[in-house]
Amino acid sequence: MLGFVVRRLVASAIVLVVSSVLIYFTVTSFGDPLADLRARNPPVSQEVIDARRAELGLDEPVHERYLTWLGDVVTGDFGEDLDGQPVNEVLWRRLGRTLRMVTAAIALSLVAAVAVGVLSATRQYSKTDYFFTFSGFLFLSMPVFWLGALLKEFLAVRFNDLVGRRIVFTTGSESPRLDTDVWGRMADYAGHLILPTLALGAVSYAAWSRYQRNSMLDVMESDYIKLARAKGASRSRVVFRHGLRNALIPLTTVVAIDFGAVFGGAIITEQVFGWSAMGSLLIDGLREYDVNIVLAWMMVTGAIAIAFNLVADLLYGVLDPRIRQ
Amino acid sequence: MTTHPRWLRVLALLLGLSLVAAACGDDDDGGDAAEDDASSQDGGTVVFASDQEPDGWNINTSASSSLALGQIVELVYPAAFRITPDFEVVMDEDLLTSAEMVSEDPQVIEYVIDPDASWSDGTPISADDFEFLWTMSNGSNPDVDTASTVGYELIESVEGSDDGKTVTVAFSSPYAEWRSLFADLLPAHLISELGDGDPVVGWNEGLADPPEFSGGPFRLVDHQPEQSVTLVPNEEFWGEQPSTDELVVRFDVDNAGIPAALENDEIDMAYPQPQLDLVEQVEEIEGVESVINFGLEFEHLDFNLANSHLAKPEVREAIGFALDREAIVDRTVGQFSDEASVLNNRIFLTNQPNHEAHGDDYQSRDVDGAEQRLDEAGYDCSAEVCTHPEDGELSLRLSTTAGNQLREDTQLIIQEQLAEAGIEVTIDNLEGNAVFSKFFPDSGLRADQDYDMALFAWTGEPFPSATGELYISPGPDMIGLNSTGYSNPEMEALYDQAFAETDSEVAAELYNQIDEMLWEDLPTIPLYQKPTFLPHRSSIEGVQDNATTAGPLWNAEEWTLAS
Amino acid sequence: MNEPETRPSDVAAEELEDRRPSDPGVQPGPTEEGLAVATRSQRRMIVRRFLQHRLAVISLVILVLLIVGSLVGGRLWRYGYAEQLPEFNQSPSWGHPMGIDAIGRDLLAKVLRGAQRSVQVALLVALLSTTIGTIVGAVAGYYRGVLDAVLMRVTDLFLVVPQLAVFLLLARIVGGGWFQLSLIIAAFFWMPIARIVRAEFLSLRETEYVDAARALGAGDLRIILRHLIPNAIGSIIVNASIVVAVAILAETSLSYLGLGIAAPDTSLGLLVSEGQSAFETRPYLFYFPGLLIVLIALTVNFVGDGLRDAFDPKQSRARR
Repeated sequence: MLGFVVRRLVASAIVLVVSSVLIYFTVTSFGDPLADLRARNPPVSQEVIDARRAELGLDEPVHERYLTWLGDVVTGDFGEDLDGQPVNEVLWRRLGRTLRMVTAAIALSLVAAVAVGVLSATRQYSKTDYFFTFSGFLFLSMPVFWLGALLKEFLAVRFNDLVGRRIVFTTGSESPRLDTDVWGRMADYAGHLILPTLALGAVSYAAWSRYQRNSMLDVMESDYIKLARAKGASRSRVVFRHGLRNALIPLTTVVAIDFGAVFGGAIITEQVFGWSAMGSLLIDGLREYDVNIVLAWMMVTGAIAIAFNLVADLLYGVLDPRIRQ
Repeated sequence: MTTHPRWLRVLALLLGLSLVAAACGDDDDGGDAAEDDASSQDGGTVVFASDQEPDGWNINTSASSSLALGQIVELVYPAAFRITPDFEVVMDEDLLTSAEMVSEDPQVIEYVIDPDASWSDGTPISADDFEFLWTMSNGSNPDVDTASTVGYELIESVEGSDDGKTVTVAFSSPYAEWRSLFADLLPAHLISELGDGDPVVGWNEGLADPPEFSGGPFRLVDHQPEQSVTLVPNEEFWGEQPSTDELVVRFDVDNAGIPAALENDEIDMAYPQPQLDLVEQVEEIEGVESVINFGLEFEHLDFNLANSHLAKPEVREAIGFALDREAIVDRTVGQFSDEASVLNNRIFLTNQPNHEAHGDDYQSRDVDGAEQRLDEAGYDCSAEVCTHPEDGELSLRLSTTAGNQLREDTQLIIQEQLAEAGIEVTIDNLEGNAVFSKFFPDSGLRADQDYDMALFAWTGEPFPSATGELYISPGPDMIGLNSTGYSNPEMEALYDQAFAETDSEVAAELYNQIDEMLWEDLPTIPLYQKPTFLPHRSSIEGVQDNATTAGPLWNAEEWTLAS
Repeated sequence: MNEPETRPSDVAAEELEDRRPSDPGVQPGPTEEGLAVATRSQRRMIVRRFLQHRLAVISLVILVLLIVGSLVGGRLWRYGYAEQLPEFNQSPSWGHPMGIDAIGRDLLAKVLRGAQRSVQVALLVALLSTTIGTIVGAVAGYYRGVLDAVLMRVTDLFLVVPQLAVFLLLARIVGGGWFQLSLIIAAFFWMPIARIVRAEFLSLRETEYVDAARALGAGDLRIILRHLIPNAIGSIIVNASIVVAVAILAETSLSYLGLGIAAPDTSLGLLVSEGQSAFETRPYLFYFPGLLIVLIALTVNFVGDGLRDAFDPKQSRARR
């Protein structure tokens, strides 16, 4: 077990280093990090541009710059962005916001997926089942930002009008200038989370509820469930006590694997709802060819994805008794 | 089996994680918020959505200087002169009681500071602060990051008298636009403190975060990176106190999100780049008014005179004739304002007092005239694309910033219009700002430019001397900011004359002559001024757009909130 | 959809039936011929099973109409998408059902062009990624050993990278032509197909008829093309259909973030993101391209579902 984890971690570290090399050289050879400065209006003088070149070390060879970067990253320092601000600071701040959205979306879609999956499986081929199947496919077929715009219109503005209070917010991760107690702050966070969570969670909900329905059906047909029923256990007891428990095992690993995908999907959701989080960090970083920003994003996200993949593998081993040996 | 099912624990763990994440995001220090609670009451808040967050807070450095920053700090930093919505430059009567030229040759200006004027820490605003701004901005110390040395480098001395309340500024050579100087004054003593005693360090790095001091009606509090910064009244301000309790500037609302955020009461004002649907949508929101204006930015078409076709004056004139600038305006900025018009002056924009319309030859489209000019230059226009015996087909690249819809639309219209005159235009855009490296390559050398025709904007200036850099040649091989490579000694002599002319009316006449000369040689063609759009809640009284560099917050201290 | 629940025993029977045709006799002559006949009857059975899936059939009809319409529609409509008309900024009318945009382009022409581009991207991505995935999976599954290990590690690597981020990076560098965009997307969509094909090949290569074919002197390429791929074709087609749906959405996302198809060309994704601000003033600009995307992706998903049932009834019980 330990050997497995260590081997996986070593392999992952190699993958991260290799991809950092690829990204570093692509971004630096294609991008002009000074474009932004040049496009300033009113314009800046040539001396300023030259000074910035020197400051960013653009006159040094690329491989030396990369090695400097790598040396810093090993000590946990992602360097400075093009404006000279430390990347770490902005990275952690934004990661916090993104994780808030991602975990909320995962929690919500997981609860909904399990509930709907069980319901559909126990009422297979009923109207309810068809309804959820169809709506699942619908969510899978919808551009996230299109859904987001619909939500803004119908679930925010009109909903708030209806209840006469501003409960749902359309933009940003929190209100500026909050001076309330913890509960007020929580309510404000929740108000800002509603729409992005729904938009981001819709796709994973759709995929997971299908998955949960299928594994539930598999389990319900297994012999031991039939045995439990035969022994006189009540239907609900069988469904929840025996069926659900075992049907959740495969879903857990799927969720862990999908964590990275949800994290990536947040790029768009954040953009739709004006969150200044990891998504805009990456997009702005790419736009300005800010190699330190792009790399910090890729490394952190890659590490998270790898970690959750590892967790998925471990969970699978731990949860499924058949694989335990 | 008495413990919770495993799946329940997994769920609980996930929910717990999201709360931890919520707590992580909540990293504001709360100290600032508590500090000004005393002054804030309900209903006194105005939330403004800005599209750009400042990189730093010393507007006088090139690292931080930006329009967006200037529009915030003008409420915090004192300035000798301010620009009104009519593009007039007027003395700031809070800071100064008088500012006069006491001698013309040598030029000497005497400023008298209001006796009550003081920084929020109680230190009087004095000649020391004027002197500090001058020493930092005159370019004498290469370690100082300076946004612009224009004007300051011509100052010989800055001296204080009368307890520092009178400032005498002597110039080594005449500088007509002395009113542009000493905007955004900083407290000399506090900047040195921020640099641990070293004023240069304090200047370059001390204002990475918003300053606590203020010399204006508002002070900055509670900066939440990427989210917002808040302005609250500066209780120590000697002039009239603002009546709003706080002005929140948000950085996390993008253009597409503005209508919903306005409708949902999340913001009260915004200043987005207008676009037809945005304007119409905002106009339908109840309780929100909006103003469309024409600002200082103007779009223009530049010709690279190194191109063998464009080097011929006849070709440039033919392009001028073939363009229907009226139609371009109608189909772009004309959509949301009837007042949009073709710009016929590169130096004074339509809303500036000295504006005169020039370029009479190019007011209406004349495709025949264009073909005639091409004929004179030796082009054969019998085929779809005109051909020159030596220089080949008249096919030109037109470059602009990809992703900017207004420019891309303009470009497509130009392409269509020129095609009718036998001039082929191919599109050669680059994403975002990268396209500027085609016009202004790193080397700064003409030989490295990579464009035929360029479409971009300059920001006009209330002070016309700044246009000099755009049209005066910095040397035969150099670009500087003169992207076309245009050089005309006669015009350059006029610029020199205008720089030194202290009579502003005479100077304006000289600048207008310069523009006429530019129409004659046609290295660039101005197209139109970019509109500004200021939607705001009707309950905020006193909002007035200031389409100059000052922006929409310029008179925030005068706003009142109707209940 | 109204079929009774299939029981495991039925599944086993059907599975046997499925495999039977590919189970060759010992004689070389009759084998080849028998195989052809068997394949034909198997094909007929798949079609029959697909036709029973009503939703999938309806979806297929709609999908074909949509694809044909979007590929030729632009040519039939009287205005070109880039043509600048003398009128501009007009609301919908009989001559211009969706109105005219600010610089004088007919908006219906633009939507048709957008649909064409989106469909082109989706189809090209499906074609390319299926080809790459099948080749990688086939080689890995057939030859096994070191080659397999290397190819599968590469596949894992591609699976781990944050897709959208890499798309953004590459699109930023390569630029937003529809062809480049398809290449970028295809470069990251082949992995699931590679894995599935590999798994199928690993089990199929052990079957007797492959041994028989080899004994008869058939080369690797012939075995892969004649015997293995036809048997894995079901999974390949089903996954290709999923790729079509996902590729349409991927193009949409890239265009929304400003790194996809660039003006003056257009795509459904670009049109929706432009239409976002017209949500209230000209709602059809937002809804129409958006619904088109949903309709294409939805019908593709249903067709894929139907295909899965038809090819692999073992899974149908749970999937439908």
